[in-house]
Amino acid sequence: MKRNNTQTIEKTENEQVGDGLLFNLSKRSSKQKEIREGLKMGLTISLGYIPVGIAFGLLAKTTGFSLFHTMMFSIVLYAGAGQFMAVDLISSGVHPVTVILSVILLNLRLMIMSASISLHTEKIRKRVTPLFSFWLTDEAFSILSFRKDEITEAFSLSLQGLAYSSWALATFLGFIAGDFMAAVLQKAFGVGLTCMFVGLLTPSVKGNRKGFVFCAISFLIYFMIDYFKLFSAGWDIVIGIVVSSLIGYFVVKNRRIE
Amino acid sequence: MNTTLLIICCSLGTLIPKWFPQLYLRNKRLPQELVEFLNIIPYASLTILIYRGIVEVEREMLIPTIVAAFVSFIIIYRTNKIGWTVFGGILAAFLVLQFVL
Repeated sequence: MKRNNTQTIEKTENEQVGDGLLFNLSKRSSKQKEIREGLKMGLTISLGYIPVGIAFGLLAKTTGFSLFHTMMFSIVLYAGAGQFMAVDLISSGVHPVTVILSVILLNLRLMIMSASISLHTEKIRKRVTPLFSFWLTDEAFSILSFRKDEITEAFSLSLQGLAYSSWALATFLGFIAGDFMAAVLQKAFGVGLTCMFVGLLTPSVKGNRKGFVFCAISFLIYFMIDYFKLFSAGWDIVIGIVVSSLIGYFVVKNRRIE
Repeated sequence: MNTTLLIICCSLGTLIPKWFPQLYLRNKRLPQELVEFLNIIPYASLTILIYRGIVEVEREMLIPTIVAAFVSFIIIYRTNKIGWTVFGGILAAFLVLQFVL
C-alpha cells in the first residue's frame, strides 16, 4: 500500500517534469516562430527603409555633415522625415531651438500612436519599453497595431531591430556611395513605404464597415487641412489624426455602424 | 550649439513623448470611450500617411506613386501578402518611370 503510494507520487512527479519539458519546448519554439515572423515583417519595412536611408545619407553628405553626425542622426535620432527636416533646417542656419521644436512637433504624432499601441503592449516588460518606444516608427506602429495575434516582445523587437539596423546601414551606404544607385531605381524604391501602408490598411478595412468609415473621415479631414493649409507642418498631422479619430468615434457611436 | 548636442536634444525630444504613454497608459484600465478612441487612431494615421505619401512627392513622382499605390491595393486585396505588395508597388513605379514617362 505504502509502495503503491510512492509509485503514484513518483508518477505524478514524472508527469509534471514531462509536462514542464513539453511546455518549455513549445514555449521556445513559439518564441522562435515569433522571431521569424517579426523578421519577415521587418524585411518589408527594410525594403522601404533602405532606399530612403540611402537618400538621407547622400543628402547629409552633400549638405556638408560629417560621417559621424550623419550616422548620429540615424542611430541616435532615428526619425525618418524628422531627420530630413533637421538636416534641412540646420543647413539653412535656423536657430537650434527652432530646429529642436520643429523635430519634436513633427514627431508628436508618434506620441498619439504610442498611446494607441499601449492598449496592446501588456506582454512587453516595463524595462523594455524605452527601447520599444525608441524603435517605434510609423511603420512599426502600423504593423503592430493591425496584427491579429498578441504583440510579444520577440515579435516586436525583432521587427523593430531589423528595421533600425537596415536604416542605419542604408544611411552609411548612402554617405559613402550614395551615387552608385541609379536615379530611376532610387526614385522607384521611394514609393515602397506608401505601398506598405496601403498593404497594411487594406486588409483591415476589407469587410469592416467601421474601419472604412474611419478612413473616409480621416481622408476628408486631412484633405481639408492640407488644401486650406490650416495648420503648420507637424501640427497638421497631429491635429488631423486626433480630430478624425474623434469624429470617427462620435459618428460610429451615434449611427451604430457594424 | 554644436551639432552633436543638437542631435541629442532632438533625439530626447522625440523619444520622451513616445515613451510617456508606454509608462503611464500600459496595463491601466482606461475608460471604454478612451479605448475606442485610441483604437481608431491606426486607421486615421495610416490614411493620413498614405495621403501624404502620394501628395507630398515631387511632381514627376506623382503618377508613378499613384500607379504604385493602386497596384499595391490590387495585390494585397487579391493575395493578402505584404512582401509582394511592397515589391509589386516598387516594380510598378519603376516600369512607369522607365517606359511610360
